[in-house]
Amino acid sequence: MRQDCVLVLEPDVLVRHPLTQYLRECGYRVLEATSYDEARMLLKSVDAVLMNMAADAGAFAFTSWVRQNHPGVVLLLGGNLANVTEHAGELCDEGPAPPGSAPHHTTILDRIRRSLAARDRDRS
Amino acid sequence: MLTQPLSGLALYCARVLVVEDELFIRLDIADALRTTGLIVVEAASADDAATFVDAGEPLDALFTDVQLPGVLNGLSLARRVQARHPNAAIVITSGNDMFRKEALGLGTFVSKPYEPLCVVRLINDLLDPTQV
Repeated sequence: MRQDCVLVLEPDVLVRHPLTQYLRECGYRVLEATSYDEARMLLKSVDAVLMNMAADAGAFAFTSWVRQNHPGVVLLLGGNLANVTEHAGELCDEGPAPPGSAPHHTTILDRIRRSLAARDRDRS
Repeated sequence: MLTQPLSGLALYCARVLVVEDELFIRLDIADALRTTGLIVVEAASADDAATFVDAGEPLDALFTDVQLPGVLNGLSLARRVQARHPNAAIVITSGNDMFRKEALGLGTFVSKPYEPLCVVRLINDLLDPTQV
């Protein structure tokens, strides 16, 4: 059976890694892109893109490009970190793995926030 | 030559940080590592990887290229990982042999181009020395 493939486009590893790990635990094939250039190279082989629209000003241009060039790709756009993890949670609720087999998306969100806080503490 | 199938490798939940700016090289090695049950954290630069290390996330192994975009290179990152995670296995790769000596002072050196399955076996062996 073909696995649905989700591309997670997120420059920050502390956000990207927990999200991708979560989606893999839910049964998806997951590709990771750290930039728009990387994402463009991977779009041919994905079913959906999960990204944070608030990440930077290039997000709107990128999503327009995807709409024009890959109209079959589903765009899951979050306006902030909580929205993005919520989209991931919805994918997992509807995805290939039975519900309950992976941690709830709020757990992932908490973990991301803890990691970001730890990094910020380390930098200050 | 790799003769044992990957299914023969021990399955771990160990976490490997893979740092490579060439997208498809990174995808290949990350996918190959995941097939053995490892949790793989992908980073496209040493700077990005350092944020992961600085956040205190658990880490069992580092596989990094040397020449990477950004401020840090793979050798600087390896020193950082060594300081924070003294038990982590460190494998450094480069197509430039001039980095070999310094890399060997930090861990294991693998010349590019490499065969992903050989790197997978190497990392699994480093994570579980009883398998050597």
